[in-house]
Amino acid sequence: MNNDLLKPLSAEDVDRRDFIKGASMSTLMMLLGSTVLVPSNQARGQDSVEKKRATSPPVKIGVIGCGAWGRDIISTLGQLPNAPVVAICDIYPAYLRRAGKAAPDAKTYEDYKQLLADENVEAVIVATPTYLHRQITLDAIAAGKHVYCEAPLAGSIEDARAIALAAKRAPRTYFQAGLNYRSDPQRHFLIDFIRTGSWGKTVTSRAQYHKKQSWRRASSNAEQEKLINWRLDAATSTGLVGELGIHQLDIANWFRLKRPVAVTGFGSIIEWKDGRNVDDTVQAVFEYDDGSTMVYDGTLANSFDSDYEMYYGTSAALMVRENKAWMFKEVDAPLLGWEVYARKDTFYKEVGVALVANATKQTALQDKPQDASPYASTPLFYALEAFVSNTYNHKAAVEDFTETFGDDNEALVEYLKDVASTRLPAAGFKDAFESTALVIKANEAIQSKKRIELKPEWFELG
Amino acid sequence: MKHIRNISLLAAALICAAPALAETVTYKGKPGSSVTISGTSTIHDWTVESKLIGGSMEFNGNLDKPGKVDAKGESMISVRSIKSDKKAMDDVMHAAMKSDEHKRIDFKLKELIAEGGMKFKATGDLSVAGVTKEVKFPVTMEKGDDNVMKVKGELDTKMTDFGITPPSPPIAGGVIKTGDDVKIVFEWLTQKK
Repeated sequence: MNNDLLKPLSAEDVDRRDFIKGASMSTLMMLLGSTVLVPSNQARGQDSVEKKRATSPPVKIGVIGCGAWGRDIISTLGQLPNAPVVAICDIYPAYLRRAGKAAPDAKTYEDYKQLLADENVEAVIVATPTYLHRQITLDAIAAGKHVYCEAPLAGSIEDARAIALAAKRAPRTYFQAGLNYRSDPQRHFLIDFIRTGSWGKTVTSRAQYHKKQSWRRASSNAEQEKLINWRLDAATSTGLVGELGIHQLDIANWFRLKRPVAVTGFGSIIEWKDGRNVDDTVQAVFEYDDGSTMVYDGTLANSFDSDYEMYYGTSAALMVRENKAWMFKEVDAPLLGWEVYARKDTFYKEVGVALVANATKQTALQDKPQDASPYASTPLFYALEAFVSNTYNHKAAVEDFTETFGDDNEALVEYLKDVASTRLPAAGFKDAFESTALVIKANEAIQSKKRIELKPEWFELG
Repeated sequence: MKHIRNISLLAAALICAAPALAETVTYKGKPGSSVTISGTSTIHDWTVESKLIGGSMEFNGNLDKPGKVDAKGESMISVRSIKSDKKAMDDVMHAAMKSDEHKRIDFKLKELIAEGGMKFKATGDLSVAGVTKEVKFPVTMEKGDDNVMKVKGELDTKMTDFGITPPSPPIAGGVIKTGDDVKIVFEWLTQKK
């Protein structure tokens, strides 16, 4: 084992210029005696993984819901070479016009049923407010379209279950939920580390989302104003924990392959007292069957430290922030666990080198500065890339199977299981249903300031 | 006299024709089949696989008896369904096989000679990437439950025989060069119609 790794950097090693220049977070972490955990190809400064991924032939997409997030989706699709947006839909003409600018060749619809009737549309993205997902998604699946439905799936367990069951009962089409971290290669890389227990016994974990913002969107039209602020109304919103927290909580539970057995919640409106009845500051404490807990801390009233997840173990703590991770080892941690990940040494040394005063060396180590194309590395990008690729392969498999053997639904389902094993990773209906049910209950606990025991039947699809 | 001769000729023809019509059995391809294509390269050996072998075959007569079998057969494989666990390699393979224009590999049986014990020698036309070539290969057949007939066989051939240039994918500085020789191994599940 390389002892250099454990030596903290001395003051001379860290040039103040570099600290300010933006290596600051890494530098801080180095000084705290941590190690940056990075997948090895990034370490060697090669082109990012997404450039190397072969792409499938195009899939023609229709986007239903052109609010801020829907428009983000349309822009991201524009970065993929095989995701032509052929149709867009929104009930609000202004949003439709704005979205049309990013997808000028797309046909515009104000009624989603007309978009679903458009035979040119092969796959549909449902990016409407949560409470509207159910009918639209069910209709899309019934129309034989491949569907990407945003997360949380719905605002009630009943609706979420309806969506998941519709997806389950339509094996001929592909379904993906908008839990985008499930497609993120950075998160996948961390799975091995967490699941082999190199961090020791679970002590506790937390997920934080801090961003000072009102969440209120403006509109000159009073009726429209109420519609676009569905997040601020308890009748149509799953709150901070549902709309935002679901992503972090889904990943935490996926990492640990555990679901909580109970949740206790707290919430208040601290800052944005504008007539809303959705808390702007919440905490939810989840209990697991091994005695450990996970805390979700979300607020719209303070931005300090932004959003990240922490996993605390008896051998090490793990911080996952944006697309980086750091390990903070305990001094009494066994050497063996650490050695398994010795391959990270290379990157560590290279980062070390970059911090030792010479910024030009850093750029020489990499093909391009890391932040050059931030957008291409977003979880949304990976998720949409997976959606297009998986949809094409699914569609091709159904076509090829039917052409070869005719209609044999049972055998087709078997064959598709095979095809599923080669998919790009993405959230399926089962995972999305379970995480949706979890945050719906967490939101209930927050609203009632109570402890709720999570009954297994709430998470069963049937 | 002439008409009696004609009648007896006609009767003779009918008698000869009847057995042929009575015994034709048709088998149709069914899920559970597999075909693998294996080859080499300067870096590593490779295998690609498809589970979709479609088509049908029909026989007339006893398959155990050595000699020429009265048989017809046609099968097809969707090129798109041939895959490995490396997507990049699959894309290179599909491009080399010109899968956009030639979506299928087709085989048409021309002759089937039984050697006894359900072993045969097949001769037929294999069409890949728009090129048709006659191939000969050994085949065995196995009867299964539910009127299933499993047809197994293998054949060695060369990519260049079908106008396919062994791909040299543009990675690792073009160091990887695929070998020309490939081996096709198939197990085709068919069921009596």
